[in-house]
Amino acid sequence: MEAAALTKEILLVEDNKVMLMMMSQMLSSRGYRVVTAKHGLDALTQLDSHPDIQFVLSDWMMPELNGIELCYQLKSAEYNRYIFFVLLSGRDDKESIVEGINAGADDFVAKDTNINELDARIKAGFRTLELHNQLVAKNIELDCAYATIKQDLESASELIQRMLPNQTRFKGVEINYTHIPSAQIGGDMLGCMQLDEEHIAIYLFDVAGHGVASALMSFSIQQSISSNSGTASNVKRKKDTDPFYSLIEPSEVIAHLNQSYISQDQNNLYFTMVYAVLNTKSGLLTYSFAGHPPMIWLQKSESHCEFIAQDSFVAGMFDFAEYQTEQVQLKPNDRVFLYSDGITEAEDQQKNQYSEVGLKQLVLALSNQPGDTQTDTIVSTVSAWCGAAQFDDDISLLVLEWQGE
Amino acid sequence: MQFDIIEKGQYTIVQVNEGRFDAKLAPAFREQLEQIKGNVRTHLVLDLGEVRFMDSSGLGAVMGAYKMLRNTKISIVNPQKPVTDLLKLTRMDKLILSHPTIEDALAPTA
Repeated sequence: MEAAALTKEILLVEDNKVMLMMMSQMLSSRGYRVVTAKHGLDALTQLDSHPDIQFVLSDWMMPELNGIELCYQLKSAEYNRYIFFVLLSGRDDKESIVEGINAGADDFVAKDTNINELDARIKAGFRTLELHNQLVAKNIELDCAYATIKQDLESASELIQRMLPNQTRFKGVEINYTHIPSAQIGGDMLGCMQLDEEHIAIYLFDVAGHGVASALMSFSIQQSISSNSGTASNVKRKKDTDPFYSLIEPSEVIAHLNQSYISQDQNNLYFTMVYAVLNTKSGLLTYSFAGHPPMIWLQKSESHCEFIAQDSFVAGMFDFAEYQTEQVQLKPNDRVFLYSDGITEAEDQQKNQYSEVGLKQLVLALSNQPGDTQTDTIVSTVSAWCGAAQFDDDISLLVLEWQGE
Repeated sequence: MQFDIIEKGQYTIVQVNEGRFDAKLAPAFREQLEQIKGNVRTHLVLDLGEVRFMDSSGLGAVMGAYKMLRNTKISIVNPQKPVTDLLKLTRMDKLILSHPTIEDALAPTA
């Protein structure tokens, strides 16, 4: 509602006809439009038929419904609009004023108050009304903006879900994953892809922060990794000799992403990542990290779990950052777990974190479950441990199992 | 107060008085740093002794400080293990050295 649109309309409630006429004329002479009622019940009817009136000047003692009772009704939370209520009375003793304040009256005016003071008080009341109405209008705007943002976040979240990998079964390799975006959507993303007949890439990254900026960056990174057009991409390069391409080393893939996403602004968006390539024939896993938490390596035949860690700079922050490629030799049925800090930093009611060590123990404890079950059980176990309905951060977990040749 | 700032001659000490250096605290830290960056002479000391947990946003704020004050020496004082671990994991320990006390950080050999 525009402030200017506020009509200076007053409902005057008074049972004494002479007084009613006198005051009505006085107020009209000061430019107010006056609607009258002869008691409280009449006032309610008048307010119903004049939905714009927000200012009530009411006598105290009246038949049917007195001023205090009228005030209670108009100031109750159920009443359909905000009313500025002024009690008009010959009585100005302290007890009556307390009663009036308790009923919710905004001001008190003695009947014999001169017109200048009355006018000044009414003006003050209209200023309060104006502020109130502006506040209400702003709140409505905010509610709309919030609803829009919420809807946008939901759409973004859906879009993110569609970027998740469809194909998770490859020759000799089974991949399972869980990806649960937090309420405000974050920047977690994961993926897997067949690079050639013998190589499968898996990766997981986590853009710091929440919200649209993080999600957009995540979306963009996902596009640059997974767009695998022909022989040239961020994970493969062209070559002049057979087979006319070569795989780009993990450290180089990350170094390239780092350079592409160096933030110039004060936003300081960055991401942590792990990218690994499995040779599906030999079980050799080459990998590179960018400030990302360690992978967990479940060595099935030994019933043993180990971290695969690499200290490294995060990506998208420093142009001088360099990355390393390292490798481990998997044995058949070994599993490798990629995850983001959302799961290890999940907290229980006492603010204890689940921790990387906790996750490693859980992986080992559930090692006899099949891959797909194990992924789900891990997430549901951590969730139950937290005791909250929803995780605070994105949860993502990707598990690769090499079945051997 | 979330932060205490002590400005003394060539060095400025920013003491973080919160147990969690996370997404809630990071914007205030960044703002604080924007305000004082003109006064920071040669050495910024971040006292993180109170910080029990630093998340990716907290780390982002520290990295942001490093980028914002390219020509200023930055030290971290008294980090707890989770902070040390995170700095090591992300190699920030190579860019910003940690010291057990403010005196150590200010020692000429540090």
